[in-house]
Amino acid sequence: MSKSPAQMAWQRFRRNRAAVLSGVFLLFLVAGAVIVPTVKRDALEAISDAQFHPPNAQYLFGTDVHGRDLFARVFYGTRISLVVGVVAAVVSLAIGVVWGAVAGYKGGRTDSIMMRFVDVLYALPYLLFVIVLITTLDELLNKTLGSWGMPGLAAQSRILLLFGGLGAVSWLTMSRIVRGQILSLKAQTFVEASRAQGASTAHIIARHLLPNTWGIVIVYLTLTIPSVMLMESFLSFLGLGIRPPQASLGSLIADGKNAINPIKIYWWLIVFPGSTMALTLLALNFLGDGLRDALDPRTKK
Amino acid sequence: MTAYIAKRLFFMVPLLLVISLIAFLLLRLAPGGPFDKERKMPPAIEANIRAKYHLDWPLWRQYAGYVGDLCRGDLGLSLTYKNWTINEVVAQTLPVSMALGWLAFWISLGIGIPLGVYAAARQSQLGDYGATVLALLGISVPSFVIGPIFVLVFAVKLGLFPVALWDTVLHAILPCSVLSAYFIAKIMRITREGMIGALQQEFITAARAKGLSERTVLAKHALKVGLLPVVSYLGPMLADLFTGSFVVESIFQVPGIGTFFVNGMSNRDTTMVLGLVLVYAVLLLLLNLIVDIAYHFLDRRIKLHE
Amino acid sequence: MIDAARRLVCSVLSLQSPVLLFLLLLAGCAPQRKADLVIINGTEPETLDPAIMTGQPEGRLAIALFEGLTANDPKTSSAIPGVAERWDISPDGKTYTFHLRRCQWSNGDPITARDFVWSWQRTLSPKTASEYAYQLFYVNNAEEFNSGKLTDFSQVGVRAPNDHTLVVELHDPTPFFLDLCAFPTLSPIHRGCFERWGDDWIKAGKLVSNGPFVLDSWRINDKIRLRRNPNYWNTANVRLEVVDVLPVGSAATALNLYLTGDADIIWDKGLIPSYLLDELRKRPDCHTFGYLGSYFYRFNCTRKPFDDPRVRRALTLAVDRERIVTRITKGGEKPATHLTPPGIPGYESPPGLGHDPEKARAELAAAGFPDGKGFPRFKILYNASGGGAASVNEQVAVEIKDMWQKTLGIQCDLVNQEWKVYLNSMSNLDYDVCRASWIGDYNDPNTFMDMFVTGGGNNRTGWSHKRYDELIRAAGRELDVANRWKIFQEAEALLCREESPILPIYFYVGINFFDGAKWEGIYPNVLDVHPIHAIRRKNGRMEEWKDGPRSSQSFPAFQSSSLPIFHFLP
Repeated sequence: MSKSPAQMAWQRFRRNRAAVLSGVFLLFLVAGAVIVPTVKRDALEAISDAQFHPPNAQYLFGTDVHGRDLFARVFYGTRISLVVGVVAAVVSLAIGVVWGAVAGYKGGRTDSIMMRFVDVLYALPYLLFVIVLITTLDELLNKTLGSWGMPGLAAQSRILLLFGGLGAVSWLTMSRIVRGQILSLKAQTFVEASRAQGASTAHIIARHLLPNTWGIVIVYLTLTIPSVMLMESFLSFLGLGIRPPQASLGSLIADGKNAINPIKIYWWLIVFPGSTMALTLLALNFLGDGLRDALDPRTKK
Repeated sequence: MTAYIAKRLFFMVPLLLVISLIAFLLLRLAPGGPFDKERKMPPAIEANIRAKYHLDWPLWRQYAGYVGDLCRGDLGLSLTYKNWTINEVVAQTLPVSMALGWLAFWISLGIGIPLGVYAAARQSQLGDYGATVLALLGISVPSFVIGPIFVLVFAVKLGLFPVALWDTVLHAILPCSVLSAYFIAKIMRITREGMIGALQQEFITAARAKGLSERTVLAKHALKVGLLPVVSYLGPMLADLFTGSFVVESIFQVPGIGTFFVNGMSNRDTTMVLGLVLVYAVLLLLLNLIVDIAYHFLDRRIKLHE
Repeated sequence: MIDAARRLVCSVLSLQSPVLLFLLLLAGCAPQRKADLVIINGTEPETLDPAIMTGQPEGRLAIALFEGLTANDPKTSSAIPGVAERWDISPDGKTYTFHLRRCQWSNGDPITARDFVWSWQRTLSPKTASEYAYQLFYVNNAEEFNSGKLTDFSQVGVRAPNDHTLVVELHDPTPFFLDLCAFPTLSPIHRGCFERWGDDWIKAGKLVSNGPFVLDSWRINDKIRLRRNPNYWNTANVRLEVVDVLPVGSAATALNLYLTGDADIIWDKGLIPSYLLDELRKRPDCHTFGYLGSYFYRFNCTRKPFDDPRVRRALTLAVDRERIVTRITKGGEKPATHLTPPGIPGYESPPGLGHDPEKARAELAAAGFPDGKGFPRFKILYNASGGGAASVNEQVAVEIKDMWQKTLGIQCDLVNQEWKVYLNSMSNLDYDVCRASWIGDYNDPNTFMDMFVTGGGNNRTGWSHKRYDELIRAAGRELDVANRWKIFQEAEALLCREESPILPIYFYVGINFFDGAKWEGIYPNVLDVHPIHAIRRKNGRMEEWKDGPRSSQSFPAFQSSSLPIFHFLP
């Protein structure tokens, strides 16, 4: 009895040890990112006299300049980084899928104009755009949200801009992938049949084409998250990332990089956030690769 | 081909105008002006400064004036660095950034491609995993962490290179290495993907069946196809090289263009930001045009070959 | 397979060979002379035009390139003769007659009193839009000329009866006027040079200046090279031939450059990493000294509940400054209970409100918020983007927020704004509590105290007090030194003990890094002014300086070639 494509894909995935390990690691990481900050809610901001203490029984990852527990902050930072990564990736997915699907399905003139637009955007340095966006719109968003009577949300204006901005620069690859998929699916008979029955474009895209692209979309979603996290860390380096007192892995690393100096190395300030981020990105990349290999029937084994 | 190039160049102009208009508007929207200082300026003086830089004109007139100057090749005066024109800043800093980027570009290709080919040839074996992990580290550790580590190890402790500045060839090695790290990794992964895909094509099986050695198969047949994805990545790679250079320039005090962009933003130096955005955009669009032409040629050769 | 890779690499490299060849050729070209002294000065100067510059790094370069009527004494930073070799002051303190020495511009032209008149006219001209023009407002009619009300400069109180005499008329006896004359804003400018080159006049090769050094080259964000000016009247005492001034953006980089010997001096506080200060201060080459700067918080006195002095006093009393200077800033800063930093000769500030949690709680209760109940949640505003020196602001805010919560039971949020946005908010009184600092321009309490007069542009708290205004005005007219100090003391007690519209936190320290065994001529003084021409190598010929810790590397050919090859690469 032949297996369904999904089952075969799962089997292929299982054989990729690196991908499976990564998946398990990520599950633990997410669990930690959810549990630790909730349990140690106060530790995030509680300052103490234990400044720059190396890791010990009480402070598993050591303390920072304010005597705050780095262990809690790292997991809190992981939470924020993952949230930013996932939300921005979803934003990029929303834009990219719609863009790519429409371009792929419509074909012809529309397709070439839309993809030309993507090509042009590819050529522009995304970081410049994000820097300009954040610098110029942060205050404006803050005031606007405040005047709409949402002070809580207004205080989060920076993180909202990160969601939007980082997502807006990441949708290009997604749109290309989706367009490619749609193009190959378009020619298949079930689409013809549906069109013959008089189904609208939107209906065809939504009910027939898109469900068949979820596989590849998930793969690129998984691969967008590490790229977004890395971008956020660059922004933190420039001072445009997550605002304190919130912390993200990127901002912790940007603060911790000061520990790499010839005078006195408070190694825990860079090692723990840095390796957490590196391992997370590694895991996400391995997972994404594994998913892609699993879904792609041409991989030799 | 000429028509294609001409068309691309022609469409660059409105595109650049749109980019500059968006950047201009965003900058004017941003709160805080270029002349806000810690000490309050007397209003009369503030009015004078604003008049000098035409900041008292209505927005449309400012923009029109800017575009007019642009047509004469005049990018304007910096609002922060009061005796420098943007043209002078670009003339001094752009060659530096380009040299940095150029070296990093070739180092990345020179190391990334062979690594990727190696990994593809040893797919799913130890060599592949090893190379992949190394590559993934390159894209998982941000360059502003790699940079200080390199400086600490190679420059301070081992004393092999200068810690910063940009004077001699020796000064260029560390910054270029730090900048390339990420791209070596990316190129390696893309090459690996491409080569794996190429090696599975039917014409490869045919070549092997013909009895050709593995070396010939790889080098003469698979490589051309396998490198196509790399060529299509070259465009965004150049863009990323430019942005990646901000961090490197900051760590190594390289007098490049990136520092001026970032500082220009925080100083609200409108002319500087606009000028640099345009310079970046022009450069990248031109370089992408070259890459697209190269891709086109490569692609045709392959098609002819088959 | 490896062969294939090898061939690929070879083909890639072969494309490189013309590039590499070009580089190697250039690398072997004629080397640029190594500087006698390399100084890390701060960030890239925004301008070298003394009339419009505002920052400290620019100021240091200005006193190397230009010299005013007076100059700063390297030891005490007080005014000593510069272009003016002596002066007479009228009994009412309002008329100064300067007698200029016979000296020259760097191109040989003689310096005359008319140069000063023209330069001051240019500085005060509304078109020049000089931000520090107000330093000249003590001169009769200068302010009117600057605002455009007066267009005839001959009515302004400065004139040159002959080539070597300059007469200045002030409208109040201003005891610190001689200090002001050393300020870059009042420097003379060569008229011919300016009129010939316009905005370009301060570039290397065009600039004509009268200071101990001339501008040899200026590569933006890379290096400014100064060369001894043979036409300077005191050039015999200048022991440095070539000085490189480096703009560095990051503290980590600055420290690395210094530790490896590529730089001889770091003298910008912002480029010294505070988190390493505990260790760095133990080094003998770390020189700290009192500095005329104050770090404080402003209260927005137009907003409730900060319009109540009891609330402001409570918040001030609740701050443990010792903790902040030992844990956060670590530079040996003095905790501040008053506004004017110590170090102004003869002046002693009255003590302000110290750290007294009990009293703080009592004040808050008296104001109607016992144990902090009912106190609205407010925001502390500060600027801290880009890491660097400004990250201290965030750390201080975190600590103070915690102190207020633990001692008074009140809650607040931290708001971090970008520098320009923060300045904007502060100017528009769009904040509750904000971080602030002030650096003195000259060695007199007035530079701090006159900030807080009613409606003063630098007040930015909305605080207004008639008695305070009266006192400051009286101090401006007072001739007797002892009386003047008394007036300022009364004003400061009013400001810091009673009303407390500001929360003084600490006084800055100046920090310089240099090897005291190698260099002399750098003295600690409260203005952190260290004229470069006073610096000299201790007992050694100039040639010996090159073999410092790392300069004789194993690649001498490359090392000595500092031809800027990459600056011209296509």
